[in-house]
Amino acid sequence: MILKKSKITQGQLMFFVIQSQVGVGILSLPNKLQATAKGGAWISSLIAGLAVQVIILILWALCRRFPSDTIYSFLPKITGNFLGKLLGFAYIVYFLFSVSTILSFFADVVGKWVLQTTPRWALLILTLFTCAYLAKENLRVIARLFVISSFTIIVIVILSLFGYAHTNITYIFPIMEAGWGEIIKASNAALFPLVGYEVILVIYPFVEGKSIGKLKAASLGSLVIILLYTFEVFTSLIIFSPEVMPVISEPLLYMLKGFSFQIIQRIDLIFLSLWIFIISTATVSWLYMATTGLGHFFHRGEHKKAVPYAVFIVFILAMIAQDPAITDLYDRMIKIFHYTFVIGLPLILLIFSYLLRKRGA
Amino acid sequence: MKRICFSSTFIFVFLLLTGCWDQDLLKDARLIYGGGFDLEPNGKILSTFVIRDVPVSEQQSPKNELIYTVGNTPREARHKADNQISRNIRTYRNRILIIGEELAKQDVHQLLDVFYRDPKSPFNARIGVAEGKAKDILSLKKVGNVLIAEEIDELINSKEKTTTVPKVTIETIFPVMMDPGEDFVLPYIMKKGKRVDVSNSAMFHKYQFTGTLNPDESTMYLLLKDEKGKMATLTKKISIEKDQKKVYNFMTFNVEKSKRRMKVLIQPDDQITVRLDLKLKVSVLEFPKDLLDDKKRVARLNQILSKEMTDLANKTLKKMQKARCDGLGIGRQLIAFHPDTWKKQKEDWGSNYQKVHFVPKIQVEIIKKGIIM
Repeated sequence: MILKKSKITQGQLMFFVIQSQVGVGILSLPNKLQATAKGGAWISSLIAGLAVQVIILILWALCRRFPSDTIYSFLPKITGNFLGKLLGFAYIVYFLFSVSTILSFFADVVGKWVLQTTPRWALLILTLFTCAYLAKENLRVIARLFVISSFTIIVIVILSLFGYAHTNITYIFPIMEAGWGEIIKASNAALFPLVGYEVILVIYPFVEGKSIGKLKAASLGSLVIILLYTFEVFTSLIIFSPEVMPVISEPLLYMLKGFSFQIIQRIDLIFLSLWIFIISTATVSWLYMATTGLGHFFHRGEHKKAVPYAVFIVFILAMIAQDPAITDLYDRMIKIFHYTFVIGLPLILLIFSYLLRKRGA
Repeated sequence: MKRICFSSTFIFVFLLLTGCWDQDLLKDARLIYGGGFDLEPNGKILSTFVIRDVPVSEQQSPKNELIYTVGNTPREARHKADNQISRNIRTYRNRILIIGEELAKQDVHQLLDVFYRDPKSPFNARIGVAEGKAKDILSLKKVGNVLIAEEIDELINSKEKTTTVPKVTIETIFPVMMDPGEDFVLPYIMKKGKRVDVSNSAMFHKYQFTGTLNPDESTMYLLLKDEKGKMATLTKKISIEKDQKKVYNFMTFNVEKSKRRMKVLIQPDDQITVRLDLKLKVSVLEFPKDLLDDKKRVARLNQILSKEMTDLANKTLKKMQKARCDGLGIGRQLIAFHPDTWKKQKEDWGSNYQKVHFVPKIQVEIIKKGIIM
């Protein structure tokens, strides 16, 4: 069933997880975490990372039982045909919705920081076209590009090191100002920007090798991202005093805005351009997840045919989310979706499949 | 069918490529190189913009043009200036922002709001307080052959290197300004005849300008803050023997290395004591009075200098306390390491800061004396 040319290696799986995870969250995460956890925000993101590892373990345990099925094909095997298909659709909706949330946030940030007079539709169309062009390819091609584009993460780290020119370490003290309760509460908020690892639900069967190796690859990928996020949160915390943080929604961009070299006046624009690259890879990953589902249901496994209309749906959804009120609604919805589809449902499915002793061939 | 499809996509893409919504060509822009804000008697803000005109031919030298407008906010004033000048005013090359003394006594944070809000604002521009009016300083237009904005910018730049004024930009004061536990200090720009003088510093408490430090005090403050630039030269009176009437009774020295230790101690009765230990290794630049060949004499000089410098530190800290300027971030230390004390004190930190007991102890050691003994 699975073509040889769409198989990917475990290393590629790692980069796939990395690229799906780094997304819009990285810019606003420090601000969100600091609001509740104060100086302990960086601990929150570490705790969130721990939680993510547990979730990855659940997802992996579920996928391991059906080594040659994607989520769309193993759902009916656990819950029965009708319910399985219904849940499959729900997952597609979740994935498409996630893409549009990412894109609408992306359009917001780019519209705010760089292209202020460019209309939103232009930003969205240009991004979606590029993404669709990649998303319609087979998995191997996508994975290869993800491996290459992961180098941007290194550049992003180097760029944020410039921020260390003016730091004040005392800004994070007292670390326990908010208390453990708040820190854990904040780590809950950090779970949302870390989503993307659920990509293993879809690409698990395409990965070569033993299942334990796949777990390692996925965990390693998410570990890299958690360290990156923690680093960025920490950097923002020691650059901006606790009173400034609530005012700045994108601390990472803000801290780079003031630096300039002889040739480049605004580093934040360079950062943003790299970030656009990262956003598009995340978008492609989510689009791929959704279109694989659509392809499974409507096009006999050819996800390519589903790309055009999936892109159209995403475009419409992202266009609707212009008003802050609607963006808020999207935010709330995506959180609920995330808990149900990434944590709740997989856990229930896993328990069921154990109880009913359901296994893939 | 396929061909039609292809060509229509082609045309569509070309339509998208015709231009960019956000293009902002340099030929349509008038660049602001410096700006000044003053308070008008009626409460409005008088803005001065230094606009650079790049001449068409290369033989002519660039000229500055000044525009004065009055508005309720800096942005309104800028829009008014835009009405008086062809093409669009653009601020992203702005290098220096000067705030008039009277306006600085109001609220700097509200004044600077537009700089923090606008993504295209000149975030790394230097900022300073003018003695009197910013307008008067910028109205010099040229100092010698150098245009005013460059002159001030480069002057501040060189004064940062000699540890005379703090190294600040609009960006770096933002986190400090918002922090209740720390205050910032800006260069104080004065007009001396047809020239500009940058050697003093302007102290702030919260968002308000509250006093100035003279050049020596300003250097001392920076040493105490552990922000020594490349050089830090001071001239101190040396009175070993009783013949104090002599003219050349001074020593000029440069601080080569400076090591600071700051310790905030809390007594049980909530009295805050700050111990500041500063070890300075200095090189003698000028000391006409005596030779430095005798070890004993050098030791004696070290002692005298240490005392002089400790006195200067005491004077500086007194002045800062009087101005309520917590430039060393004592409050910051309390927030971070003594949160309970801070909770009790934060309500009225300005006046509580004045009760802080500073114990500066400065040790000077002469390590170089030039090429003669």
